[in-house]
Amino acid sequence: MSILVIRPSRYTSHFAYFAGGCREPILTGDMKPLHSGDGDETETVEELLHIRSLCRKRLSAAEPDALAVRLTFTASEFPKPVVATPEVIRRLQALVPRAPLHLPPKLRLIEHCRQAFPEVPIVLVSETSFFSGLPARERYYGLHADITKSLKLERYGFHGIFHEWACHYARHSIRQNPAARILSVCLIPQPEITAVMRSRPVMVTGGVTPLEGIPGETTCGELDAGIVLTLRKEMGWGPEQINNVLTRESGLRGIVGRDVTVDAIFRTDDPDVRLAREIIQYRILLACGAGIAAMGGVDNIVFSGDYVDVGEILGPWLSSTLVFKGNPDRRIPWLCFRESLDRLIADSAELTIRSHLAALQSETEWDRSHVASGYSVPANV
Amino acid sequence: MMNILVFNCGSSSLKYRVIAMPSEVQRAGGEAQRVGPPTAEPSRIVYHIGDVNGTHYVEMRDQATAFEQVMALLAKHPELKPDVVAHRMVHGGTRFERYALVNEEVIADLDAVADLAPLHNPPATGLVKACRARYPDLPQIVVFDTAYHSTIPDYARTYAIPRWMTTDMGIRKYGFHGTSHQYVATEAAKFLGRPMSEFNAVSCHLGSGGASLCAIVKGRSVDNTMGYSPLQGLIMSTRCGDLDPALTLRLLAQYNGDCKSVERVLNKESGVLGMSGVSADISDILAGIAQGKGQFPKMDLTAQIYLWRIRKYLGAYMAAVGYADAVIFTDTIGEKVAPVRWAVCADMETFGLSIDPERNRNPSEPPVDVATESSPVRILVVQTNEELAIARDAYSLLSRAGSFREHALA
Repeated sequence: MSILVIRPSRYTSHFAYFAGGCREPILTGDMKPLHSGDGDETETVEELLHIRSLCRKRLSAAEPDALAVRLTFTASEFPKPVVATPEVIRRLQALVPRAPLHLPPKLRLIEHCRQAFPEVPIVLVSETSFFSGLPARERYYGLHADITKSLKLERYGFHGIFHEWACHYARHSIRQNPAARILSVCLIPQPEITAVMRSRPVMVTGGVTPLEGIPGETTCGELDAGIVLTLRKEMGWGPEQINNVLTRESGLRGIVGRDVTVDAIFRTDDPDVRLAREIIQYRILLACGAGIAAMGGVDNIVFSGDYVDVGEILGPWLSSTLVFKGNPDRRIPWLCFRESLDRLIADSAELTIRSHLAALQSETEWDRSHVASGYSVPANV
Repeated sequence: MMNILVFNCGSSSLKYRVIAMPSEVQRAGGEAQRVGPPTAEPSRIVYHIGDVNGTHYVEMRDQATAFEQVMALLAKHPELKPDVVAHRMVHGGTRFERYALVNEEVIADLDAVADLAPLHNPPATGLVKACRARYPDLPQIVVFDTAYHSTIPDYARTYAIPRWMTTDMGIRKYGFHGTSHQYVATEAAKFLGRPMSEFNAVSCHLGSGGASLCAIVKGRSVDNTMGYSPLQGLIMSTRCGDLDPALTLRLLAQYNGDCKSVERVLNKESGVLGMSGVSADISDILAGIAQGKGQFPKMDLTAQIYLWRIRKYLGAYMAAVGYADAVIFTDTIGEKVAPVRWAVCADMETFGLSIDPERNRNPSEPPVDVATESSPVRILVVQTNEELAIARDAYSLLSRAGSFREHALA
């Protein structure tokens, strides 16, 4: 099945075209970022038409079998990827008040996709779907019940696509154990850790937004609420200004004083980044400990994400550090899952289309075996 | 021998003890309750002097009045006349390390750090001032809850925010309940026959008001769930604990940027009280569920969220500590509420923890071990005694400085 993956964002949108049977894209590129307002977006349709003509030229004929649009937030509305039917679009529109800046441009993009590819089904693959079954004890904060309810303040988790496939890969790798307890460490500019039991996440470091949890390249991660209030009082900053500092000037950039990647801090002896590395490493250790407690144990750690190779450094370290009295010789096995996000979105879309066609989408457990069988199992498992 | 009068000032209470040092004999003590505006029950001082118990009903509109009443009660017993007054202070900010002998400069610094713990520091500082005005010749010492956590390493105490906020504004993790964590860790190490310098543990101070966990390596604090302020970490009676920073921003926007309103919501209207809508005391919630009121979803959810957060942090700190010798439970909830210990420690064999259901349900007098015989990590219930810990600190400071002799002879 040939799939055109589109990953829209406010900064740089991205596309990747996967021809049927190919694990690597035959065409990739960037698109103009999404507009947040109601400006003229005819350019977007033209860009999509251009991509369509490129696909035809390269593939001599092929119209993609499906478009896969990645969404970063759909709350808990869709537990699985969905075909963008009118009913699905209505449900997405109902979510707009919860993400007023985020969802409207995505909805417009979906409409542009429909205009440029009128005959092609569009699959929406959301990062928050995987966490839709998060237990209530993990989902809610210690706030007044009325505030939680009126403002709909819940924890979501934000890198579900990597986590879901990486956990599936880990279960597949450890003798098809469906009950495996897995710590999934997603190594991207904003790292995220989740604990998954029997395919279901029970703990995740991401929060109401991706700001919470492990610090990122420019995001602060966990922070005492008192600090936000101090910045308001002492600096006189408004919520927008504080948000800007915490999302764009903090994290590794804030600690080191210049731009540095998660990947780079683990690959250099530069004393300037030592504290940043120690902070990230320590927060990862704490999150892993919390995840193990959440699951009552752990069978495997799996790394994924753009910086998955950092897992080769963190894996042995976590394995030798997460050792406790009573089990001094036990080393937690770890592995790296190296698929790209584009490929995983394409795989998700393909499965969804197949299920949709078979009208089994809501009833059956996903069968990823035909996809997963293409992965090789590393020797260290 | 000297009498040290220790004050532990809460937002609506004032605990005190008269402790003879160095013998550590508690000669008198009590608690002024319901200090402040009138409530459903009258203000009173519940006290004991030696073996005699009593209750003294008197209106106490603020901490200074409560202080006067306590001093009047003690004045009837000349043998209890204090030689030194020691105060527990919650937040020392960057201006204070462990403890300080009160003078004008120290009082100015206490005023400067008042906002760092808005529920606790202002009344305690008010008490120091009232005491100094009334008894100018009586030496006073302040002991800081943040002191024990001065050993938290940089990687654990530094937030991932622009460096100037850390260096210029003093925004970093301070940690709280240090006096209690240090005291129970010392007692636990003694109980297990381990030198403090080799003792590793996770200490769970679960109070009816505030609560925090402390990771302890070689007797020293290496992390605490509270942070820059006492808001961070566990869910508490009326405090929210951990929040997504974006969530605090959303509340600020909701209240038109009014910090006081958001502070009130997060400090006084959240936590167990805010979630349950029934009580600020988790033991009430658990008792309600046990009595079959679990059908009230809010109570059940409150208990789940409260316990889950402790359990996650226990796992996190077991990972930080590595080879822990013990997990310690203390303060009102930690000592008295067995279901909390059970929910937190059950199914944690991975960490070397195995709790004995019977010992946990019916523990003997603390300190007591409620782990199974075979548990590699011990699970201890230890009664905290912050006042004694403060008295020890005060005695140590005065003995070293020679101040006590000078003051006592004056």
